[in-house]
Amino acid sequence: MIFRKLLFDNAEREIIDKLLEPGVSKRKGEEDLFKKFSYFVREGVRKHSLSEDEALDAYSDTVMVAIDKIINASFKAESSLKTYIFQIFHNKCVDLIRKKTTNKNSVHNTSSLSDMLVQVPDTCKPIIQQMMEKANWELLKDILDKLGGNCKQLLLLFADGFSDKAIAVELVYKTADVVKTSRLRCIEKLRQLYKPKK
Amino acid sequence: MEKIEYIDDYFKGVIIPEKKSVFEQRLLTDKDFAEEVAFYLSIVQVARTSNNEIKRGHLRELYYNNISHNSVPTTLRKLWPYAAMIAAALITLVVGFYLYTQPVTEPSKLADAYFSDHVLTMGVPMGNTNGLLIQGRDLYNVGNYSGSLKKFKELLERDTSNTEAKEYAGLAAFKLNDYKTAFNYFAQVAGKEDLIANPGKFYQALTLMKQNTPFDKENYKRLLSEVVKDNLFGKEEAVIFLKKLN
Repeated sequence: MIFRKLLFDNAEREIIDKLLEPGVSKRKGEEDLFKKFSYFVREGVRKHSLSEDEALDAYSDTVMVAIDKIINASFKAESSLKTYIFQIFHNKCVDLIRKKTTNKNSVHNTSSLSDMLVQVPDTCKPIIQQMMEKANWELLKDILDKLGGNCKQLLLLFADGFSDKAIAVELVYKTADVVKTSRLRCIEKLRQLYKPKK
Repeated sequence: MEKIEYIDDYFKGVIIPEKKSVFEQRLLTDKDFAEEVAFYLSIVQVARTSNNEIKRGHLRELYYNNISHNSVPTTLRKLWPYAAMIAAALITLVVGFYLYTQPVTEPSKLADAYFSDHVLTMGVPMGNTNGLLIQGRDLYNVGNYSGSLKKFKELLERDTSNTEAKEYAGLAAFKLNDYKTAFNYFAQVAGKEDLIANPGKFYQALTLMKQNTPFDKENYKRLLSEVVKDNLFGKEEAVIFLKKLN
């Protein structure tokens, strides 16, 4: 355990702590993490012959994946944060080079369907997965973008891992319960707008 | 609404174990219910994708505005001051040798030689995360002096005490042959007494040398003498200039 603690310097420890806190601290942690290893972008340009923009895309995705892993406790702390990020970044760069000729955007798919189905028992997963694959993603995104009021913000924050309590603080709602009711109404509204067009 | 709340509670993990197993059983037997669950997860997925797009844009902005030039590993950052000192010493030697051996004695040509060989590009604004400063520097380095000056002026409107911006604005104005503006900026830099290496007075002298009107001769010689006497930035060059100009 002591060895594991020694794998992180103070700055890395501080970043991880911030990421594990809700709300504004988490955002600060995201920015700090991004800044800390942003020189990897130059490595991507130098070692993988990517353009700066491509290396930056790969690095941004790397940071987002790492944040997800840290928050979801999939990051086992078996290496320093730097080594961990570098490994993901290297894979992203290789992935990008491989996919450059086919579908460049697929490198951006940082959260897969399987991530979301973890909580569902294995027996139910194929059913849900099949139904989700049939969803009209573009239409859903279009409706989400057009949702009025605080709906979009509420749903984006919720999907970003904010609790209702943290959303209440962020968007100045009276209580977490009000946030929950409003958020569920937004899903209901989205459902109604999606149904007839589907 | 109740159904959505039920699904929401399940995925937030706040549902009681008995209800949880009923929920999971219902997924296998009730197609409509399974569709509701799939829809709920699809929304979260779409929102996540949107979040990622927003974050990617934000990170891109963060990179280009603030950190692409600053974020070097600590070891490199530690070595940078030594590398800069060695580079500055070498440049001074080369420029000094050039100036000393060249028969050029015309003040404006001496100033031109200094600014073309010595201050061709502005260095990385270490420790300063101001985007406008970096943008202005980048424009300067590609020869867009008017664009560069505009950025520095914009920055100075927001932060009137930014000495780096004043120095760079003076350099850009110098390149634009706007000597009055350049001189004023350099004078403001020279007025800052808390800088370790203040180039203000030396640059003022160079500006007057470049302008080279009959009224300037006495002033640039006086400024160069002060640079030597007070051991200010540009002292070595000032000694050579004074020898050549006398």
